Amino acid sequence: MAAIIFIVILIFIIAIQAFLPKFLKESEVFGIYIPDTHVKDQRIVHMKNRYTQLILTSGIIILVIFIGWLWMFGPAEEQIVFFGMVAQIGALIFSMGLYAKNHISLANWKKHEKWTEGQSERKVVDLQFREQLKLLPSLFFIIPMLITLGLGVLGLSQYDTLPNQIPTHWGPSGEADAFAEKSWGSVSALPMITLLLQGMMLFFNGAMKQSGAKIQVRHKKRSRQQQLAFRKYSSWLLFVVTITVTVLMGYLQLTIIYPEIMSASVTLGFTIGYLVIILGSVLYYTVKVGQSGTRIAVAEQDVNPENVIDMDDDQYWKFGLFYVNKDDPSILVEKRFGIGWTVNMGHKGSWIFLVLLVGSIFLIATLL
Amino acid sequence: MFIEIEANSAVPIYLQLAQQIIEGVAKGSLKPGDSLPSVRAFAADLGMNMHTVNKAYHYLEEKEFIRIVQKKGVFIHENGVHKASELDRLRLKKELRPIVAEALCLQLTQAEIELLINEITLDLKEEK
Repeated sequence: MAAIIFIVILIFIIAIQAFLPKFLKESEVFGIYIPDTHVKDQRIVHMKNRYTQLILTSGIIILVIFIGWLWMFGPAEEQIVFFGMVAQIGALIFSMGLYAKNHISLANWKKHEKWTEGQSERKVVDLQFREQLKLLPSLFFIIPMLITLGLGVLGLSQYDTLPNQIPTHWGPSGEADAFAEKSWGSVSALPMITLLLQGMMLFFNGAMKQSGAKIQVRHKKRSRQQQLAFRKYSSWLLFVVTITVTVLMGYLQLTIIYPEIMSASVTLGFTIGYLVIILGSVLYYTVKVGQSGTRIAVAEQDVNPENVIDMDDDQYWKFGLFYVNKDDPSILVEKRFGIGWTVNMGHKGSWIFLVLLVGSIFLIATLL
Repeated sequence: MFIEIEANSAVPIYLQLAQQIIEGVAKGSLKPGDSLPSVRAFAADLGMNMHTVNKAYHYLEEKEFIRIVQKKGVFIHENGVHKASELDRLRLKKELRPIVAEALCLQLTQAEIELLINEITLDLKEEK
């Protein structure tokens, strides 16, 4: 079972890494801003294809070695978990290395050939963007939190009747395989972790409203529609994650309180259902929406003005991965290399958020 | 309505913002009572400091183009479009003076200057 999970995850990671450049904006390649005049540059097209080929080849080699090793030696579960992780990290390191190489070559071409010279750099703002933005209200994220809170209280109210050993981990077959001594902490650990996750989703949904819209000067209407759609779908994805986490964790909490309803197959069913829904929604989000909504078709046509390009903001993107801009009040920003969101490291709020997050994880871990 | 900021222009960013909002009011794409983004949201969209937006908003507030209501938002002022008073006329005359002077230095005739003004007026009225 563990082996199958690792193989599936490995295939997922490799496929995402390999085809990622194909799902990204034309104007941002390997973390470098490419002005409109150069998006059709043959060298860039070639570089993207080459990246996909190399990642796929290396990924298949890693997979073959991993499966071969499983088949030849039939290793124990701990070993599978360990080498499964090694294989995942190996695949990620390889793609990161390749990314870095491409990132640097592109930056050099752009600098030496002066791609942005002679063009007027513009920044576009839609004054009505916030009015048109349709994100789910915070209440959608607060109600699941109340449910979890209720389950936490229920657990504590049944404290005396609970068994002395509280399950803290479930094995691949759905059976609990690790336990902690009964205490206020161990009984409430699950709801607390859930609340933390739900709180994060609530925070992201709120931060998305404040995040700056990136409207392209040559495709104003199109990029506006795509940005609106991207944010709407992101909000729904957060909601799906919140609901599935609430259901799975809620079920597990109930099995702790009422062990008689516990059945390994139901637990397994819930876990697999959870994984399928999460992976499915992420896949749907990636294919349907794409980076910043670039895969969403828009009927409105733009008049493309000549000699203007979007503002070059490479200076704020360290390695094309980390956004650091002290002036920008956005906490969440759209990723450059990847689909989704990242935080503005130049903003106090991001650091407060990270410290709170790490702090609460640490607190829960010590409580256990 | 879209606003377009030139990054490497001699005109300061806050002034570009303010001037484009005034153009929006002149064209009628921004009507009295329409709301404008909050300072934070505007600055986030620009990816720039909130001071820049604040400065533009205060400039516009002074000229009575917008009204800033605490906790409620920023709106186009009811008096954004109104009949010019004698004072307004004097102020415009004063502001126009150096530009006309520069035009004369460039040896434009009075007719040519009038033509320029006509072109601009037409352009602003046409684009809705």
